[in-house]
Amino acid sequence: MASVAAWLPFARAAAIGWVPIATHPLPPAPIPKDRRKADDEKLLINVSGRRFETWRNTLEKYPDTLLGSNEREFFYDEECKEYFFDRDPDIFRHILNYYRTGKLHYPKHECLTSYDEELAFFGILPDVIGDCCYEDYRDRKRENAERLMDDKLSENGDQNLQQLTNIRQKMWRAFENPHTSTAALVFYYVTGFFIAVSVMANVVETVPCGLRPGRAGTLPCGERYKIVFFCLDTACVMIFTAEYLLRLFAAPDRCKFVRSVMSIIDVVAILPYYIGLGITDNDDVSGAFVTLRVFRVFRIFKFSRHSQGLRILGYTLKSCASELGFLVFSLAMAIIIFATVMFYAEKNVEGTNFTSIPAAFWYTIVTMTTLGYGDMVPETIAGKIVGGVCSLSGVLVIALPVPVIVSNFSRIYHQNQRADKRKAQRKARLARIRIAKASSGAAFVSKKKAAEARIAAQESGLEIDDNYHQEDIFELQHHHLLRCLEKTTDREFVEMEVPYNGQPKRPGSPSPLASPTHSAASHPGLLHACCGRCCGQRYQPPF
Amino acid sequence: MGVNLSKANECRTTQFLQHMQPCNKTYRKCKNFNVQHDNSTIQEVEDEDDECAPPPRHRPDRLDAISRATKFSREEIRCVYRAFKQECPSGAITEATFKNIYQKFFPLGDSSQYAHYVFSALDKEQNGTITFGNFMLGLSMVVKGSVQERLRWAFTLYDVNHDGCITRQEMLDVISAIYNLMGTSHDSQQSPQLHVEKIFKKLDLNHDGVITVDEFINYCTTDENIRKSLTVFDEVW
Repeated sequence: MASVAAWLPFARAAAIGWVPIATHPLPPAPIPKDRRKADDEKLLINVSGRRFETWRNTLEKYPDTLLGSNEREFFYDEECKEYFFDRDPDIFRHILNYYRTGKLHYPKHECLTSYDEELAFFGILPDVIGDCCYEDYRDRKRENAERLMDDKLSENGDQNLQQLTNIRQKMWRAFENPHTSTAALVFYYVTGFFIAVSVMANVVETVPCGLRPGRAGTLPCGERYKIVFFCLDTACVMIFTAEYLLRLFAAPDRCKFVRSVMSIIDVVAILPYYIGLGITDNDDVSGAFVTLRVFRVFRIFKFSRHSQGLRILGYTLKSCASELGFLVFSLAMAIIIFATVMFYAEKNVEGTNFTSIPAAFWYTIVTMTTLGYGDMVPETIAGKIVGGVCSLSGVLVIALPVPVIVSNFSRIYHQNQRADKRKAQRKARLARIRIAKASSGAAFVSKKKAAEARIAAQESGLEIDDNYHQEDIFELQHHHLLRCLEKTTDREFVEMEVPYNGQPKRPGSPSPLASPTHSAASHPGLLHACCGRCCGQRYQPPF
Repeated sequence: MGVNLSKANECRTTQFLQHMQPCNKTYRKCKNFNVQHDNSTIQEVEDEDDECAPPPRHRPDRLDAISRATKFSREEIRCVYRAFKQECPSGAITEATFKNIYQKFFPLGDSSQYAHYVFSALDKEQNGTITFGNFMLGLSMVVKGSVQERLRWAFTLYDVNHDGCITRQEMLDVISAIYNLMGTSHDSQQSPQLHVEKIFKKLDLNHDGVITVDEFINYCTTDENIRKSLTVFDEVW
């Protein structure tokens, strides 16, 4: 290894210690062909104008990278006797420090992708980033990857616009993204309306609505207008059932759909009605029937399809499961402790409410959550002291996991907000980029046509335009290449406003459909052969 | 002639070390409070989380002086110093760094023992660090010294406790360390013992159980094989 090459002479000299004990005579030393006087020479590296100098040995420490291997010879400039790289000098500084110190650092203010690109160019694995910077690098990389995945997913969603031939797929997409078509939007609002109606009906059913005939007590509206409510309920359940069956039909993976949370909520929402139809007015099971009616309130959860905030809340609670579990567990512990102590403290009071430890649980819960109903109150001094401690500790125990949950919620919510904003801005951004690129593409094509016209004029001996200026040899060659392509494929490059498509030669052909654009990450300066809309690639001039 | 810490450095380091009390957080807090008022003696503001004093810094003597003392050319000394400073920025090499370097040369085996012996052979003051000046002196003796000097150095390599004679145990230790350089794939239990016996039979002429300097040098200069092998390391630089 070149890093310890300078120590080798010492190690060899110290090997003289082996001589007395050597069982065989030692081999003769290798004779270097030509004694290089200065073994170490300084190399000049010019990165976009900023000059770096280092010893050759420093660079050769890592022979599997660009600078340490023969690959750097490709960048050697014979005239200036230096290595020239047309890359970012600020990031190069870190790369060179890696050779010097053996540690690669990741600067926090640099963009992760540009840093990655530089590392890839110079052949350095990101894994050698030092421990001090590695975590930060990994975190940012993960964030970036998530963002890109998000973008790609939404882009795929957009791209799939044209690829749906199946009714099933169309329906599924309509259900999942209501804003894609009017029918879907109507369906979305109708179901939302009926959910609201159903929930309101459940609530209003129990409002007292006049006196009971012949008996004391009020009559709830549900019993007074039994038929009306029954019809309303039937209508809602029919709509919900239809919706559920449609979703089941349209789902790409039915088993997965049946197991998903939303579908379970759907089922639980409509099942009580059907079970209620089956059960007659039998006293024995009417108790169970009443319980079933409670489940009708689950219809309100169907709103989570309509509200993103609700979904985020649900997701947050799921992701904070461990904090919530901790909260519940510590509360349970505290409740048991305090209830036990209170019970034994108040046991001997006459007519006390604290009849058993479970009875004391209620007091403890009410005190710890600082509700303090006052239906159970300690009488003894010890009981009062314990009650005081109980309420103080209650505040602490509940306050502890709350910030974690809140911060989780906040992070997820903001992420969602950002994603939505990005999606909204994306369309406008991409449209602007498309226009800019198309205009430069159009400029190039018109240049090319002008050059062709000039050449044709030259060939036919017409007079050359006085304003003819020397064309760049590269441009000429590029034009020639494109002409060859045209001749090969029997198509023609056409100037247009929208992203370019190579069209078969047809006079007066209509402008082709706008092809779906690539994400903005596509490399400029590449020429793609076009063959229609399937890949939606664009023609880009390299300059 | 040794290399001394430049006087100012030494003063500062001692003062600093005197202020240090290990592992006493409250004391350190008070000390920090004092330090902020008195900037002249302490070079750097100590963070509360620092647990040890910064390593002492050694600066070598002038290039000319070393060149004169060690018969190396200036260019050669520069080369060695650059590598030295790269491995040990503090200016003095410790045994741990030494072991690291040797491990890179002999990756297959365990070189820590052997490195330890070489280090203690170089370390004149036996204090665990070798300054650059001492290192150059040692190097000069090993590389550019006469046959006598080199053999004397080899003797100190085997004489672990530097008492002037090599016992069987010392020789066994060093030879096992050398065998360890090869790695553990060889049957290493018997061979060092046999080797030691062979050597002692050849070198210990008066059979008193130890090898002295003279016996050692005598043997090495008279044995034909050894004389030839010695020349192998003549042009190492």
